[in-house]
Amino acid sequence: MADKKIPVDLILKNLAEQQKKTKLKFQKGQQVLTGKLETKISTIPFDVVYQEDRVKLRHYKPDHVQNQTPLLIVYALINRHTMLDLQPGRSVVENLLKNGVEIFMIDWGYPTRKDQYQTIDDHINGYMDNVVNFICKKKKISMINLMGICMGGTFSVIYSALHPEKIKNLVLTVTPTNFKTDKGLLHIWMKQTKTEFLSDAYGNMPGDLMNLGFLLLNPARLMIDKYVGFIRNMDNKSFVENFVRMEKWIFDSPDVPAATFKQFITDCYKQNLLIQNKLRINGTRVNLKNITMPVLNFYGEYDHLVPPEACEKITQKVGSADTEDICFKTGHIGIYVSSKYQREFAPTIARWLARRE
Amino acid sequence: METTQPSNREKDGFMSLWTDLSSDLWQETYKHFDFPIAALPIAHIPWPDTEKYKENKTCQFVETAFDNIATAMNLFIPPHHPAAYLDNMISVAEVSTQMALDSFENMVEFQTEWLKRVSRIGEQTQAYRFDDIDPGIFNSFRRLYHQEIQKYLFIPQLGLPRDFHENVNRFMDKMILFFSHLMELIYLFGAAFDKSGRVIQGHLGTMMVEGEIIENPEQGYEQWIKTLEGHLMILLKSEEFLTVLDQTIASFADYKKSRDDLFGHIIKALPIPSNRDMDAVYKELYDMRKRINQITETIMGDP
Repeated sequence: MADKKIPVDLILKNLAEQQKKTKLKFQKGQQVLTGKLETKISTIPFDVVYQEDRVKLRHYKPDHVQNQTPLLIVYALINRHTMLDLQPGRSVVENLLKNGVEIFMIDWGYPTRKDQYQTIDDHINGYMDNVVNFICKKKKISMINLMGICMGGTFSVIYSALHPEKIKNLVLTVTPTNFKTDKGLLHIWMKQTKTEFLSDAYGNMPGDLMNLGFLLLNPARLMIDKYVGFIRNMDNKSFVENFVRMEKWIFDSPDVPAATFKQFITDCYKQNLLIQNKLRINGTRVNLKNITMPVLNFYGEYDHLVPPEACEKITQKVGSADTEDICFKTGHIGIYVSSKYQREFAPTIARWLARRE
Repeated sequence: METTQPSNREKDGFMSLWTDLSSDLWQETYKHFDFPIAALPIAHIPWPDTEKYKENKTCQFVETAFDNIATAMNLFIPPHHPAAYLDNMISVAEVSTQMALDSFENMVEFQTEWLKRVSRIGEQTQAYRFDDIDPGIFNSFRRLYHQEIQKYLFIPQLGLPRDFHENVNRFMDKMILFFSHLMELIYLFGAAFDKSGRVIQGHLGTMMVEGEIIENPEQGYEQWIKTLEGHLMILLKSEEFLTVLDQTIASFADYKKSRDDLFGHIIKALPIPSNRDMDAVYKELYDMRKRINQITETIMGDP
């Protein structure tokens, strides 16, 4: 055994200091938590210009329109589009508007049991196509720009392959198209478990259950460390406000219609049909070579939900010669919410679209 | 080897003794009720011819029951074939004993396995390794359940409430299976926490031996959470975990379905539609709407 001895007086001194600091932190934290907090999300004004069942179309107008072709943003059916406008100063919508992009955004709403039979076809050839037709009619144009996010990106790829005549430019962000990868834990789980059984049992796939699954992808960080971090910073008002905004977004999880969930898991995660040009939507084969419009493809190097391997293949498979891949050194959400990429993401899209007007 | 068989005389003597004792027992039992009782031999005992007794259905029920017992006892008194009867009794006893022994053996086997496996927990810890995870106790439980308990839940149900009883039994069965898988899943997560805790304890022990201390408690927490994250990352990718996760999901779906079936059966009596009723309506609406859209497109043309 070493000769060194543990200095007990030092331990006691540290403990006393920590106790004092903790007491002060809790006192201040109590003031912050019981005080007035600004935690609203999705605050940028918009008009609802079209509605079909639960699906609404939001219209955001920039002060000065720079691109004549409007951009339709299609979010995933998992979680909500409010992530794109978490707070002033940290908002993709705000940054796109500042860069003169006119935005239409689909709000998928909250599917109920009545929506359980809706398939991917109903979302793509139904709601999405009706929305695109509406925008074209409203703006008196024949084509729009389309931007898809995560699962919404997959829907956008399918839509662009089925209706290439209506899409001028396609922007994909963290979009899974190649499901044959074991890099992300989600891909492994989806392939090796029968999650589709759950949608049968529930009628729809419950959003809370999916969220639990996402938390279990990294329980140490997402279920423990995150909240330890919150307690450590509970005396910081700005931190608390941001934290609560993020919590509001993360746990605002609509259910996914059973038929869509089942089809997505079986055809995409388990059989990887899309990237092989074998996916069929309402009997029609989705041929990626039909995507002849310019494609801009963003993904995150440290994305644990949709790893680069799941995103990067699409630009090689489409029929377009004008494609670009941009890999940010961040995770699945970081592209949209981190301060660093806030400055890069929206301006890059605006410039890319402007060059292809 | 010599075997001793009881003689017929012994058997007859035993039967007489047994029937006498039985008669005494029922007589004594009978005395506890405030009814007149006749003396032996046991036969039909007339009840007081009063309105009170005639109207009391419980009294009538008890009277009939005692009559039936008495009739049965009277049949026993003259044992025509006491030897054969005793042989059968012995067989019944043997079968019952054998069944009890089988169940007992399985229980003991399960307990032994459980103890063996529990004692393994904490034997040794190597960071970032899960070789000593042994969820076999859950398999042992499920084996015991499948062999000894499940069959009772699938005894054919009879009569008017057959469907309801079957629903209840199915629900019980699926619930037991789901919770056994869920416990196994929780156990796996628990193992990761347990391992991380012990790795950190070992680390702290080494530090203390060397006369070092973690001056900032947050430093200790950071080490623990990093270790835990590492353990969980390995666990969540492991085949063992994937198998248990898959079984938990599948058994949960079964459990949920059986629970819904049971509740559906219960709410049939209430004036509210069940999920199944509403699903049928929703499906009709969905199909109808698709047809309307197709017809509209045909008439109006694609916009």
